Amino acid sequence: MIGFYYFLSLILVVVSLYYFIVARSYVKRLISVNILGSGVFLFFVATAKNTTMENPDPVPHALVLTGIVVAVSATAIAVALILYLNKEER
Amino acid sequence: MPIDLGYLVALPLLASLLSLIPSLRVYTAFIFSLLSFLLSLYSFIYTLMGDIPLYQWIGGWVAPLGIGFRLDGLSGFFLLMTGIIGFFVALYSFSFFKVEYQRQGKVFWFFFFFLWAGLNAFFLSEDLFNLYVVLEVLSLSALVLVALPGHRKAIKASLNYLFLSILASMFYLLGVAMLYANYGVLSMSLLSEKLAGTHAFTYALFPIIVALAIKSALLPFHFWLPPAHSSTVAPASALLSSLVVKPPAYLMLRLWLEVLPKDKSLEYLSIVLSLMGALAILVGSYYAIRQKTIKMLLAYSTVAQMGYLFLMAPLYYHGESFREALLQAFALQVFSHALAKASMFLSSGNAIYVARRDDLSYMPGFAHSHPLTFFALFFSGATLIGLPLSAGFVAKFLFLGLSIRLGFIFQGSIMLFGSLLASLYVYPIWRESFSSHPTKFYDNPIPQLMELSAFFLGFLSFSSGIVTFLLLQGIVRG
Amino acid sequence: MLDFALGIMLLSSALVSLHSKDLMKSGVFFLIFGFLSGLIWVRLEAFDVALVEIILGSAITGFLIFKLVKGSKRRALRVSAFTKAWAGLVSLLFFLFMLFYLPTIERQDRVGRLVYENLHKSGVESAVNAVLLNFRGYDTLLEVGVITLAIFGLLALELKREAYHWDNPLLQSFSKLLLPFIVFFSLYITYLGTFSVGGAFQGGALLAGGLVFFALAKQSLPLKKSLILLFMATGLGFFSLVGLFYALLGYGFLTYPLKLSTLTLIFIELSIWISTAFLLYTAYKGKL
Repeated sequence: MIGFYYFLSLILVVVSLYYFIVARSYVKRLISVNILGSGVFLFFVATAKNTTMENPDPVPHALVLTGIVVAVSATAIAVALILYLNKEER
Repeated sequence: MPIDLGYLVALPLLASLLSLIPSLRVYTAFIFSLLSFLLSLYSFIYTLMGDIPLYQWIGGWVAPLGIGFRLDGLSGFFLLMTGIIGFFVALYSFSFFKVEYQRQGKVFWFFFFFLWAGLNAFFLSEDLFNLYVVLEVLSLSALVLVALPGHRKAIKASLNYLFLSILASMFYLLGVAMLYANYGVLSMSLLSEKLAGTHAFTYALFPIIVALAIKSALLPFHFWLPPAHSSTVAPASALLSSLVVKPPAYLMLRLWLEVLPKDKSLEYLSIVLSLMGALAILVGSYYAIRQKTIKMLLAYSTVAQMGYLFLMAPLYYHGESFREALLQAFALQVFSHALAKASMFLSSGNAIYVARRDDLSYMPGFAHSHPLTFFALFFSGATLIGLPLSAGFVAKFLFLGLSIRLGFIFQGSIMLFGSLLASLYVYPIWRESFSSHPTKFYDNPIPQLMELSAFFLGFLSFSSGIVTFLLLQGIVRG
Repeated sequence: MLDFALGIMLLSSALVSLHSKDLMKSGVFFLIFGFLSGLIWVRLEAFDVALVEIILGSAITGFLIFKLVKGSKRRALRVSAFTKAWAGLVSLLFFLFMLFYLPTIERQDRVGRLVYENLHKSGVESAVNAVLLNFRGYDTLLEVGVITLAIFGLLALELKREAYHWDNPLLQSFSKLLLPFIVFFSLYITYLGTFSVGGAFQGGALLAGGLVFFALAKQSLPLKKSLILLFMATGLGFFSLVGLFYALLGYGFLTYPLKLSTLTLIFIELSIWISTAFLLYTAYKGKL
């Protein structure tokens, strides 16, 4: 089962990398980089489960929490900048 | 324990918050930049005399459970570099934001101190995940500094920088996650023990190296840098171009010399990086020569100068018997470029302030009307080229000696050629300044502090070549 | 079986969101993607991550993206075949590379066991929060720094834009009723963090959601701007002051003596809770 999640995270990263490169609008680029991030987080959380202990490893969970907060911060500032540019265009 | 290394991070963080209170802004900016500078100086002096490497486990939790600070010769030297540049840029900014960009001056200090905290944290940290968070601190504060002027060009540059930077961060995080999956630790000192004799790490290294190359603007990923560094206000440009691009290269060297074991695949990687670095020098210099505005010229010159650090990658792989000399050469190249580039961007700020436009052809006679700024440009330009006695010269001399001893003639000759190209893009600035037909734009009186701080940075970048023996003592010690 | 179904749904929502030419559709499927990934975190027993993902990664990011879609032109530029080809090549190579890598991962105990062994010395009972607040508290300090930095950054740039809200009297009175409950519930979640699933970021994000809902219903908070600013800065300010305080006392930076650790961590959690809430709320509003 862990193997499936690893594979899923890999697909998410690869697909969103493709769309990041071909994206021609800021919105699509932002979405693809967020999905890529989710793929990386999935890899981390799957690793937490890939242990001989009964409970999953809490360290990757804490790291992913940090990662999500950081990603949301970057997204918030990107949204503000893009909206500003859009408004200028009109 | 000589001093708690946490002060180096927490004090600038606190300063950034205090600078938001309007009545305290000037005092905060002055007191805390002086304090941070003194702390950096203290840490540097400690590396000359105390026990190094010094580990401090935050919260008392030893790795792998906790995160550690590590102070050694290299990090102490880079803390000093950050301290010097931070202090002089702060002095410059006091005057700069009084006479120009008053609105931006209200918020500048918040991001300035955040950047400072991030840089200190980066040079001290020895935990790979912690470095990810610090990288984000660095790139977000850099990004706001890029967008600070608020015009369309700046916002666009900062947005492009943001996207590449998030992508790079995610790649870096992926690499860290891969290392954690395979080796179960995040601390660099523990990783170096665990990696020996294994191969899986080479996979994880790939996304990490790509991420670091993007963040330090290595050639195919360089296009974000020139617009980002040239479109913002002078003190911000100085910080970005001199300091913000350096940490990723520093981390790469750390990984290479201290964490990774010898592995055939790393040799190929080092050759690829070296070629990219060589191309960065050639392409960056070519575009720098063709620019008509000072700031774009300086930004492309940063692309070229960062190339040297990657050009020498095969030396990092092969040169474990010359580890000390390598670290010295690397440290001095980073140091001399950082001081020189900061001085040049501050000087360009002066030139733009008096001429009211960013154009090389608007500089004639600058040497006559503003000798201090001219000397700043002269000294820092000499360092960029690597003229004898300058710190840039000593760095290139060390690199050249190493590349000859290790048999990398190609790298050595590219470096010499790069110096020649550097003289081609620095020369026009000098030539225009010396022209005997001063333009009439120069009646804008410029605050003394702006000229002095640019001058001192340039002077230090040149004259530190004479005292390299003292500066590099910490690196010799370990 | 459930895992496969969830995984395939997740992947297809990602694909639709990425591929769709219609930006609105992309936004909607991005929201669905966030929600599904929250479910996957639950399947992987990462309950804290699930909580944060659903509130932050899905709801707040989704809101932001919607706001963006509304303000953007819905035109798709043509992408050249050349770009597609090299993007495909890069992705394919990366895929193959990772495919070779995946088998090298072995089942092993990483730092997790150490965390459980030292849990009693951390001052909290929940393992994830012990890592977040104590073992790797320095990361969290910088993380609070990153979010503070980002939101103050967008305030500093003064990128003015129009507010967006719903005009519905029923909704307005409902939001007034709802807000006190959300405040208490989010505090409860923050408090829960000391011994089980929950914590400051989770609680803060929930409160931010409540505040955003309040703002959407065209209500304004009876708070002064300076007070909101103070709330936003509280997390970073308090956390770094605590770090300095213990360094000055001689314990070391962010090093809490065992007796005081629970108390210290509760105060740190409260400060992070309030500042996360107001930072995210401001991120949504885009101005003070």
